[in-house]
Amino acid sequence: MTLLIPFLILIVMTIAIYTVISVSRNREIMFRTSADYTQQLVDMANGEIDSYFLNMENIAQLIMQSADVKNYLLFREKDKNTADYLQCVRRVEQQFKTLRDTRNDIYNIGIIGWRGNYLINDEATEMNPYADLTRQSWFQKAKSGEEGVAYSHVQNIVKDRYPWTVTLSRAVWSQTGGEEIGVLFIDMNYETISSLCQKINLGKTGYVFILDSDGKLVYHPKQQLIYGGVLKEETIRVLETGNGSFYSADGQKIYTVSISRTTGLTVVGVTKVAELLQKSRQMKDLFLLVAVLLLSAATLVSVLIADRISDPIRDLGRSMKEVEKGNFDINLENPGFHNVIGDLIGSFNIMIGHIRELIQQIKDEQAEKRKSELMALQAQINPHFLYNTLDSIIWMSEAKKNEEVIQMTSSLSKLLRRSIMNDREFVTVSEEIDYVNEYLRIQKMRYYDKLDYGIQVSERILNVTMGKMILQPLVENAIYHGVKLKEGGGRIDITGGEEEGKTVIRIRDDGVGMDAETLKKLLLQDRTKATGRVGVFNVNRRIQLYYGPEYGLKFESSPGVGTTVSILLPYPGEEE
Amino acid sequence: MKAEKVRSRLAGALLLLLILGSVLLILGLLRRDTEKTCRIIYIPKRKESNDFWSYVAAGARTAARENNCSLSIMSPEKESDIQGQKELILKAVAEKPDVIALAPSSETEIDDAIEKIRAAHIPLVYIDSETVKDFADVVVATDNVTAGSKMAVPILPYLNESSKIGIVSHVQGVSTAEERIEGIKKGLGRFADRIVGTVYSNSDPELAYRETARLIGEHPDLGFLLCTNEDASTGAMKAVTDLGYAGKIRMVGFDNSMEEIEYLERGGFEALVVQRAYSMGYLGIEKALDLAKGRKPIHRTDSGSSLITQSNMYRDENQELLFPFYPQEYSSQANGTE
Repeated sequence: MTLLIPFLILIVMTIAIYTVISVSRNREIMFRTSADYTQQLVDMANGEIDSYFLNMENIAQLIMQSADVKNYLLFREKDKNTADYLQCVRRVEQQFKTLRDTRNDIYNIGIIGWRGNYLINDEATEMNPYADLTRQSWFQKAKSGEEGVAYSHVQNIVKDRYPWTVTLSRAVWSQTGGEEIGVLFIDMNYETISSLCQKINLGKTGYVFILDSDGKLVYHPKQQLIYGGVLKEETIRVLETGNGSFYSADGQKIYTVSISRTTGLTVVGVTKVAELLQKSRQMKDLFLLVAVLLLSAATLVSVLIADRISDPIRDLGRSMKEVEKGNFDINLENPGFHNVIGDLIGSFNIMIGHIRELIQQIKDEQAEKRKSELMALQAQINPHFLYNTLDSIIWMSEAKKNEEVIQMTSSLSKLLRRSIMNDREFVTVSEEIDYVNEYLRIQKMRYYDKLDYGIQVSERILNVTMGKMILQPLVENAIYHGVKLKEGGGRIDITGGEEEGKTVIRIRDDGVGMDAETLKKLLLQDRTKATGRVGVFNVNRRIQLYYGPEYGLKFESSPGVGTTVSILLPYPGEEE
Repeated sequence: MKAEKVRSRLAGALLLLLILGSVLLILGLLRRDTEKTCRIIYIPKRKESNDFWSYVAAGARTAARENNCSLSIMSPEKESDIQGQKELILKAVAEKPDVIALAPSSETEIDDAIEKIRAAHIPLVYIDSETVKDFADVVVATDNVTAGSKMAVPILPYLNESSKIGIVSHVQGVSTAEERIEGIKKGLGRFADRIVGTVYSNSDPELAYRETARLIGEHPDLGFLLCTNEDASTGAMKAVTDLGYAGKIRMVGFDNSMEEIEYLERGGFEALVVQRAYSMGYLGIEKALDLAKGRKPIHRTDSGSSLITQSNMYRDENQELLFPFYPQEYSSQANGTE
């Protein structure tokens, strides 16, 4: 879980930054994009209209230059039955037909001569007798030699037909160029322009309208409503602004203006701010939604990943704790993937294995070392004692005391055998007592009256095991440092039993005893080197090495009274 | 190991759910965009076989489209099919639209059906005509009194004490007819008493023809004929032409059928009073939308009318009105369903 938190912080931060930026810049970007897009569209529309007019202009030029057209316009009423006239009519008709066939957006092509001749499309087409041409601006302009264009109007020149057209008109001059002989006009289907404007998609509520250079509406999707006074359009501001865009006075619409240099037409794209805002809101919703989704998906995925990483790590940690406590019997299961964690667990297992081996090795070495130390500490038969005993045997032999010689020799041989039998480290209390008994028997024979002894050991401790050669050195001490130095000899008592859960063996002498200071020093230092013998220090050390510091030797002594050594050993319980 | 598998499966399912949920949400977001904001049912007097009613419908469609509102048009076959309109009103009420826009074909006879609209608490807009009892929240119509008085304007210079004026009206008792006649009288002023006869065509050009012929028969020295709607105008004009009275009787027509326009162009009519039908439809639906949004627009809106003569008919503002230009998009929709 702790791994998850930085993960999540990272994810939340990233997504938050992304969302804040997209949401805050969304509106601005949207408006700018919309403005650019609208500008492109109106420029394009204007370009398309330009090419239309250029095309019409070209057609007009063709007709204006046509000799047949000029000839036709100059025929007089009386010549209309001639073959020349008929031929001329056919040729003009053919020309018009060809032009109209190539361009299906051309409604009418017509010429009207000052001599009363006219031809609209073909000879069969009748002019509307009620059409008052003098009221039509395209006619007036062409007649006065100007380039006439009527951008959007109802063309009533053909009888019974009232189409909406864009009309281009020109004066037609005589072959010599000196005299104006008539007017030509081309009607383009107004729908071409209107559908062009409708095709431009400025959202659901946006629209396109066109003004001519005088500010007159050429196309507006709601022309009717504007003329009816229901709606107003910001035509004046459009004309004032020129190319570019501006907000309407109420701030609800954005006008994008494109003026054509060729035609002077102004194409205006209008987008509603409300729609842009709605779109921007929708985008914002979308961004937020995506952010929430990303967040939840990322959280989910990171929980999964974190679990896969942290679970084995947690296991590893738990195992480490075990190791800290000293339990090395651990083998972690490898989660089964080959990544850093897997390697780590593998290494951990190998390390624990190594540690286990090392510990075992150290344990073995320690045991070996202790064994050899114990060997070193183990008391040996004092050579003085051996010498003295052998001396005593010789002396007794000379005195022919056969019985005593046999007894002493057999005791000595028992002692020696015991001490040679080094294979066992531990013996029972009874064995140890037996050993001491043999030793004391020899000493008794040597000192005779000067030494008395008694052994009284409880049956309960006879089978208790204890270190070998512990009692003998202590008894030796009691003789040499206690009883021997006393005038008239003394007595040694060995007692044994169980006390407070411990096996206690006491060696009490009524010898010279020790003062407090000597007693204190007794267990403090290894005097083996000084004396060349195994001292009580070593005995004590051995016991403690075997059984722990609560066991060992305890001395009580006072000068002139005697010394008591207590040997404290574990008591294993009744059943043993 | 097992628990882990279950968990990863659970996570997979969760992820799938999340993706599904998000797809639905995004779809919902996009859908919200295309949803119509409101539903309006418009019941005109008749099908769009007549120019006037098709212009009204075109204006209505534009307003609906602009406001992203769904508009259903339920038209009776004929203007005189009052029972048919009543049935359509009941059908519309059953569909529970946000607003109903209605051009009542009778001033009194469809009251019971209109009461159903009121009972269902559906806001009601009258377009073009009204009923005697004012049931509607809003009325969008030509101010017929003003329109009627405009009809008098072109003949005023020719009037004298002995002039004889005839009126060919459409349906007796219908508000539009009566108000236009009232307007004509107002416009004529002191010459109002020169009206020698009023006939009714019941919005049938044939009947208009016969009634006009009858009127001329009764008053052979008739100098002026004022016609109060499209069918009355064309029927009367035909009768006058056929009886050889063309040029003798000065006529003023109403509305702008192609036939009337051609007569105007060749001088048959002194003038036409043209209602702004497109504006009427547009404003009617716009007001209906206001009602749907809970706003209370002003009770009565005049959609306007214009007096058009031979000399001003090709002016920008008038040719737009006389020859409404409908791009392909609208005309194709006119026959389709919405």
